[in-house]
Amino acid sequence: MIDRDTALKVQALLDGELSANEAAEVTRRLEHDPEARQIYNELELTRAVLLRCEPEYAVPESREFYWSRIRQGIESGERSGAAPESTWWRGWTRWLVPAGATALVGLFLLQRSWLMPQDDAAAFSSDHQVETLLAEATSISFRSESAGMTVVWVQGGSPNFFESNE
Amino acid sequence: MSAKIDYASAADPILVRAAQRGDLLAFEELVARHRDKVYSRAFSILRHEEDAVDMSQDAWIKAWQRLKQFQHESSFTTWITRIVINLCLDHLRKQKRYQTQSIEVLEAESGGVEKQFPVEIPNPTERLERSELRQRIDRALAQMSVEHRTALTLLEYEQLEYKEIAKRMNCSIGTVMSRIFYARRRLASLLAGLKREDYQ
Repeated sequence: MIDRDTALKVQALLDGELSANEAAEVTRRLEHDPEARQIYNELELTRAVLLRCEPEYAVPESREFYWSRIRQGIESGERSGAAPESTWWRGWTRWLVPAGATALVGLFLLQRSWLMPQDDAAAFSSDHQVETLLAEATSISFRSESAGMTVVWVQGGSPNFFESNE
Repeated sequence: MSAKIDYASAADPILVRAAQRGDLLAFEELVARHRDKVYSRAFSILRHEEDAVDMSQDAWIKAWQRLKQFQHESSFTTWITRIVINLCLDHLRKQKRYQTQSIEVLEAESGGVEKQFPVEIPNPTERLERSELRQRIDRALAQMSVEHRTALTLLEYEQLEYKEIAKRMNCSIGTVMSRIFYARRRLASLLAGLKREDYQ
């Protein structure tokens, strides 16, 4: 039984992937090894079949319909002025970046309110709106004791979280 | 002012040069002429009609955006076919349908590619129409894994070298060789009974 390495070398000979010395060596092997010769013949036959009878598939859409999406993609790319390369990740970053920033701010303020002494917490006996100015961004905080919830809206700039005097 | 082009009868290089100057009608004619070939390559790899349509359309859009980079060193169809192949391979990687397997894993699964299939002896009595032969090959390719089918397609139909196939499939040259060998021998077993005159 022919070993794997020899079989792959026979294939490589067929595919023109061997150096001149290797090709000569494998060619000599084919002259004396009937099994290697059979493998080569089979691979050669299979290649001939594939090349001669490549399956052909037709677009399952009309010319106009198929072209319409391509034209839309071209026009969309030209309107944006940039090549619409793989855009799937751009959609995600447009959503994830502001959502992530908002979540961070919210978590920070929730943690501060959770650690707040009870007397201070009692001062927020009713719904309370606080406007907090950040260094390079603006944010508006809305805290509801009754609902146990703090919502922070952050807009623009980089997060630099500190609270102004309330 | 450029001469008016008869798009339907113009040769590809003329249409490409017109499209490179911004002539969308020339590009539309190129799409009409070669859409089946581009789709066919996508489908041969993906074996999924909708995905193949999407990838082929994306390839045309990309081709328009990169048209100025096309230097006519190869045929236009070769160039755009390479674009759609790359898109299909990226698509498969994102879907994680693409497993980079070691040769050892391949051998463990197949029991040794050189042992699995006996060498097929042609049947001297059977003759087949080419269309029937194409259907047989289509069924055989459909039964293969995406890795085997892709490696075989890139070698036989795109005439890429092992090294280039390995780079595109993100695997070793040895894995490429094993995949192609396995795919060919499996195809041979599925096409058993053919004689050389059937496909010459």
